Amino acid sequence: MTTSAGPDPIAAYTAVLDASLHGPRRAKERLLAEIADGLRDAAEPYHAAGGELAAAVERATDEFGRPRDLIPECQRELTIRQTRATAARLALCAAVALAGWHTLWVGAGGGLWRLVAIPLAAVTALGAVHAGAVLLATGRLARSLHTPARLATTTAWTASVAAVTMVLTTAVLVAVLADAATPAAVLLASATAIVGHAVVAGAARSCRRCGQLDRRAPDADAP
Amino acid sequence: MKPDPVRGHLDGLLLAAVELEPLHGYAIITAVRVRSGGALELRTGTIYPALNRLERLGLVRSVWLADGGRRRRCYEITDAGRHSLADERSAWRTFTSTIGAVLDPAPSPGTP
Repeated sequence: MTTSAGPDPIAAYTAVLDASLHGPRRAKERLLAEIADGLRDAAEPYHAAGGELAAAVERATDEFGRPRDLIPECQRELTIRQTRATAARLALCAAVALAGWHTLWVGAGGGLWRLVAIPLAAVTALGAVHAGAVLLATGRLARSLHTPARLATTTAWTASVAAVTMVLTTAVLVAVLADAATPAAVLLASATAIVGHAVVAGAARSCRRCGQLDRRAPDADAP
Repeated sequence: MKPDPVRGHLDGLLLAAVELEPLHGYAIITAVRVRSGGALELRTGTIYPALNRLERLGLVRSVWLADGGRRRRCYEITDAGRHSLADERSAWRTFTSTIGAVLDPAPSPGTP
């Protein structure tokens, strides 16, 4: 959308936010749409009084806040949303992977492989426990619990480690138990590990990026 | 009133604004401004992430409502939000009466 004076100033405003913010796509789109609506509402009285839209938006921005005023709060919320999304993916994929491994090693007997596979599986399980705690602590419990500043980074690294142990555990189990397990179980466990790794590792990268941006977000009160 | 002191009470202000009816973001800003007689200086754009946070905490829920021919995301208070607002009001009254008693003490009966 353009005006007689050039590009839509509201689109330009949200484009700055869009470029600066990182987080779950839907949450970010929703937040930007609400901000665009709000800025349009704020500019409307000035525009209706006869001013150019660009000038009206500029005046409205004085009270609405410039993008740098909004970025810290917006990024903080998007970072928590991304942390929750990462935790949810980790919890789900780890639960599916653990169930898959169980079908592989049930009735497989003992062996040295257990010394490798069980600790790796335990790391994945611990990741799932961390994810559950994150979901609880950043949901309704956050009314009374302080959200740690580095929760996003901690969750990102936990998810990254769990994404790796998902693949390693499956590789160990498939290598050792392929003859004892049914081909369908091997195929299912392998596919689950690969998909789980991709989903969790991708979410972890986004979460780490959010954590970095949250720490670097400009101080809105700085001159 | 400057933004910093207001920011500490932002959640209570937003909950109070939607206490009676669901409102969209800019209507919430307008309600806060009208109730304060225009005295509250707030970077109004910052209420949008705050509303998203209140929704995550279960203190408000968002609903789509028609407003002037446009469908807008409006926020309505939840039962948990009402409890939180009651707590905020109680804490505020305690705070203002305590500080008020120090800043503006009532004269004791023996004082000339």
